[in-house]
Amino acid sequence: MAKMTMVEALNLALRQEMEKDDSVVLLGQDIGLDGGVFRVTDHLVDQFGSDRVVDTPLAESAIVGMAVGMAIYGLKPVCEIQFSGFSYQNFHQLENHAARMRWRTRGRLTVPMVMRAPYGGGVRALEHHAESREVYWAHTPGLKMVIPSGPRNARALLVSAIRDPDPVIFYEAKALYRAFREEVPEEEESFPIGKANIARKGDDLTIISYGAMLRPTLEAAEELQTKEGIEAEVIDLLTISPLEDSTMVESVKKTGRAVVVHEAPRSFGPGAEIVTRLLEGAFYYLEAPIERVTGFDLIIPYFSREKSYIPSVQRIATAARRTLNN
Amino acid sequence: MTTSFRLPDLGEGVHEAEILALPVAVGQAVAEGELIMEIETDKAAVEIPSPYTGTVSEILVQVGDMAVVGDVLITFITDKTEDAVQPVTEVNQPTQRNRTDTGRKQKVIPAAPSTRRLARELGVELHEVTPSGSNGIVTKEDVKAHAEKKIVPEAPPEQDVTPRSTSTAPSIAPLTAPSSTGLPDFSKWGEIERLPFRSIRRATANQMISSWTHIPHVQCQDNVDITKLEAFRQKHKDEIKAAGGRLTMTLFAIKAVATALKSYPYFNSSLDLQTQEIIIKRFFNIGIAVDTEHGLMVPVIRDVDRKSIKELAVEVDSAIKRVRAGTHNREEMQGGTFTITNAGALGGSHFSAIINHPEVAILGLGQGRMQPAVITDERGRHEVVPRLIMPIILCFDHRVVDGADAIRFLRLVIDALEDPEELLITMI
Amino acid sequence: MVMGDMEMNTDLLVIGSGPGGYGAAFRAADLGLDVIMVDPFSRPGGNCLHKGCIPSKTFLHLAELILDAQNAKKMGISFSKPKLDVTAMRAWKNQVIDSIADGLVTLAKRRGILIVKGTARFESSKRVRLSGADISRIRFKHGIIATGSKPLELPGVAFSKESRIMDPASALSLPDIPKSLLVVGGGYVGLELGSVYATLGSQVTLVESDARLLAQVDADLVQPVQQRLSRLFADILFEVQVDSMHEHDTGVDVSLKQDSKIEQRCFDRVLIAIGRQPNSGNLGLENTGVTLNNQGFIMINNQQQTSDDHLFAIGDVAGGLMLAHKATREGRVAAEVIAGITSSFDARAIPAVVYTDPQISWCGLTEQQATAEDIPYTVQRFPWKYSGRAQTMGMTDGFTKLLTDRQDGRILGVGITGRNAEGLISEAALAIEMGALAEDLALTIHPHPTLSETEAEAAEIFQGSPTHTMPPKSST
Repeated sequence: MAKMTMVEALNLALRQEMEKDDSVVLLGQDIGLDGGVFRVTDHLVDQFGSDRVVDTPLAESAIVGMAVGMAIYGLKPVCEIQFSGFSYQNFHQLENHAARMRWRTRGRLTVPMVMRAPYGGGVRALEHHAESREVYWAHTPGLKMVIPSGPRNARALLVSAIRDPDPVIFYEAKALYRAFREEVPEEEESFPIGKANIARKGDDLTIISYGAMLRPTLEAAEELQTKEGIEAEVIDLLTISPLEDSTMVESVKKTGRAVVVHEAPRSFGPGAEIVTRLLEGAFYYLEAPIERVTGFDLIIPYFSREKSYIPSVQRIATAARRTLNN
Repeated sequence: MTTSFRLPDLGEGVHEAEILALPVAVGQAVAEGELIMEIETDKAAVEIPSPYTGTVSEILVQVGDMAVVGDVLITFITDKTEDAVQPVTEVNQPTQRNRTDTGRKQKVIPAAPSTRRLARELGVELHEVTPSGSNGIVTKEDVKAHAEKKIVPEAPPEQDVTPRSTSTAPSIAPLTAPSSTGLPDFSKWGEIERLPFRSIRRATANQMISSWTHIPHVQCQDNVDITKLEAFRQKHKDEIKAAGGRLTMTLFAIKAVATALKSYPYFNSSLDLQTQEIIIKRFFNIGIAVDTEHGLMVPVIRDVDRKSIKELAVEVDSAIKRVRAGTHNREEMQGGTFTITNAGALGGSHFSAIINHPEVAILGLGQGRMQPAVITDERGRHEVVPRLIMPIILCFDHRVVDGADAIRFLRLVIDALEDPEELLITMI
Repeated sequence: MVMGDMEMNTDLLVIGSGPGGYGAAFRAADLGLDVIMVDPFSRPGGNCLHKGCIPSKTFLHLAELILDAQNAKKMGISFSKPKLDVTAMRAWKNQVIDSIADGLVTLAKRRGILIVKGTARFESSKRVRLSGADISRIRFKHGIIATGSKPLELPGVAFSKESRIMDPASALSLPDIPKSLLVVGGGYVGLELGSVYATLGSQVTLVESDARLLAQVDADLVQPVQQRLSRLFADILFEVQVDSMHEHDTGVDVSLKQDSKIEQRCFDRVLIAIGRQPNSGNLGLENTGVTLNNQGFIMINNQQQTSDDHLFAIGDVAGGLMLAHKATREGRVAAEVIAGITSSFDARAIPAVVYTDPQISWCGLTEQQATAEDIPYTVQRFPWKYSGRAQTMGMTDGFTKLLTDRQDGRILGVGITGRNAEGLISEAALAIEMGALAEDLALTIHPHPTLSETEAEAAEIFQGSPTHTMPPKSST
């Protein structure tokens, strides 16, 4: 096992999958010679050549459109959209083609592609470089939406995404890219898509989160334990769609209280779906209304004002306490 | 520069105190002499004035904490220039370290590096360890042996029997459990609550252990017919109240005891085993056991032989009030030669008492109750009459005095209390 | 192009990857902490490896070879004058450095330590800003400041890379072998580098402002070295100050002041070796609770803690003896304290070595210290002319001295002058740390014939009956 950042872990996943399977190809802006603006595809062009690591023009619709075409023809493309905020240009390709090809052709043509993109705030970047719109893809039937929370699960989930026979949207929290290092096994490892992980066990309340918000959630849980002896159970969704609700429902049946944390804006956000699933599965077990700690219904602000927008440890802990004071 | 304020040596071997109040806040400007803290040591609350003029930088303790002498409690930012002035060195020479110089200033205890590490981990000071080898090197085994020795409770040392220290409570060393038995886990039978064992409770416990382990206690019990005395008291109590005191049985007992002590000076003494002497005190300071919400406190009334009952009534009442309010000072808790404990006010009757070491005896009074009593007239005829009877008990140190003297002493006291006129004539 | 402000989190940030920094980082990683080490050099080793101890000892070894070859003549083997290939010498030195540096990089990698090339500046007690690195900020739970020291400059004379006025690092890059070299400073750096250049062929003049060389070393230990260097160097001048220095195309004009007399000289090159100052400025320490003393060293306690709870300091920047091994030990102590172990810097004998020929090494109490601090002692000297081994090597200008407690003979200090004194001093350090008596040293059998025997013999002098010299007149 070696310690690596999420960037290095993703690079490991891509490299190993490309070594294993010739049909895996990469395409995106600046991913070849430059190694990707975040260095995720660093040195891959040296190892696999520019036929398999393709530097594309600045045209998101073309990038995804090409990926759809490659996938239909039997390749396993992993395309990169440089920032998730640029993906509106390729919305049509995903919604109307990638997501529907299997359905449209009654299963004769399938699209085993992956679209990777950095998402989310916390690095004081410019407009279009900090949004969190995972809900668009989660709401599109025919697409899978995966969001890892650390180096090890990022690597393991990317492997599964690449091997998945259907299109997977893979969002990587840019705030996590270099934030911390974790032991990641050199040997192949994959985690199944559609399975949530219990990141922390507890009996007093359930906090559901994912992506970059997992770490402040765990910190809030630590604080609750140290200061008030409250044991929070923290669930890391890992896959947004298909949303596996049995883990979270079982948990809330046990604890009776829930808090949902995401940086995406509040209204019609992923939290809304999660809350509804909890109501459907555990209504009679609830002791208090479910709290949502989210971004606000605004464009995420610039620079250091981001701190007031993105859920903080304090906001999460306060919401947790509210469920318990009820 | 930042300066630290540490808990000063509180004297009398006291080495820790409880933080009662912290009337300052971080960032507050403080002048020298201003009150910055209130602490409680065994039985007295002490106000601490600031030694510096400056701004409070950090407060490292909270109300309720136990601080040890030497602990840094508050740090200040003062205008004092930096204390750690380094000697000016030539550029070629290594500069003076700011750290404690382990090498040359104090005697270096020979010990291998691994032994020193073990000592650090076990919290053992090398200079306290007895080296077993002939060449003076402290070995790992020596360190381990010393660490184990520290766990066994040491017998409290014989108290230095100078008048000032007779009533001083010993330093509130934490009580240690006998090393063989541990307690069972009580929570397995039901709910428990754990409360800190410290401050006055602990000080009392230490004093009790000291008395009980050193002194062979013998108790003499009797009853006192206080019917007449009570009538006397009722007659004069308003007068005393107007003077600002309270006329109680205790006061009469004080006077009776003072008289008896003059006749039996051994009861007003202390035993010095170090010099093999009995120290007879020619002054008469009586401690009065008072029940307060903080615990048992014994303020001392000095020179009771020189004060009238009226004066004593005022003084005793005010001492009791002060002790209950916690506004007493350390000095008034010290210097006693004899102690009186009156359980009567609370309704207790018969009990045994523990001598207030290093005193030699203690007198206990119970509640006066109407009882059938037999009085015999001059012609030998017996009659059963209701009388107010108060139990009395004298508990004494059999190393210093014998039962015969104890009975005679007690008799004197009883006679005085049974007959107020007798008391008037004999008392001093 | 990396957009945005990348931040990293870690348990322990070590600033400086010299012997102190990497010592601390390796220990911390072994204790399970997540460690990031930041340094302007891309590989660990610091000054010591890249421009200090290692290159200087590499060249001093070569100087010793040349000297020994010269001395062999009287023993029956004649060597002709050696041909010096400065380029090859430089390449060899770089090879030595690379080998060690690459080894350190591997060790760091295998321990999971992240090495970041860049410069750090504190923004608070728990955060640094980096410049010249991929990451912009690092947040940490604890930090160890191991930024080391840099050479002192002569007032008004700045060092620059191409200058004829060199600092020790430039001198070690061996730009050329100057015809004449002025060495300013009679400390160990001046003596060692002066020896190298003198042996390679320069006419070396050394000036010292004090009355003797190596002021903090006992005079008796210095004397044989001073004698030898007086023959090797063109000139050694005492109580001399540099009045002014001016560089021009063909050399450096220097005015030397002695007793208010000023002498003008000109040298091809000048080496300034007057001491070192701590690298404690430009770190942003004002944003932390760290305090410095009057000379700029970071103030620490025996646990290497600074006045800021989150920050520790070790090595040269924390003052004390500016030696690599002291820094490494301090680094380990700091790492252990951070990992929750009750560690402390309690060394009783920190050895030091001067790599001239003959070498000088010492540890524990020196006679200077004992006199200054009024510590009673007795001293035993064993001259190397009575050492069989020294005779076999033709290197008898040395001696071993032992300082012991008068009463019980406990070993307080040892000083050795002679060839390979470096290899002999660790036994003394161990003896002092263990609290050994002279008797213990004397009763330990030392192999014959070795130079280490001289230590046992010095101890036997204390016991009263040495073998290879006469017992002292007054019995101890």
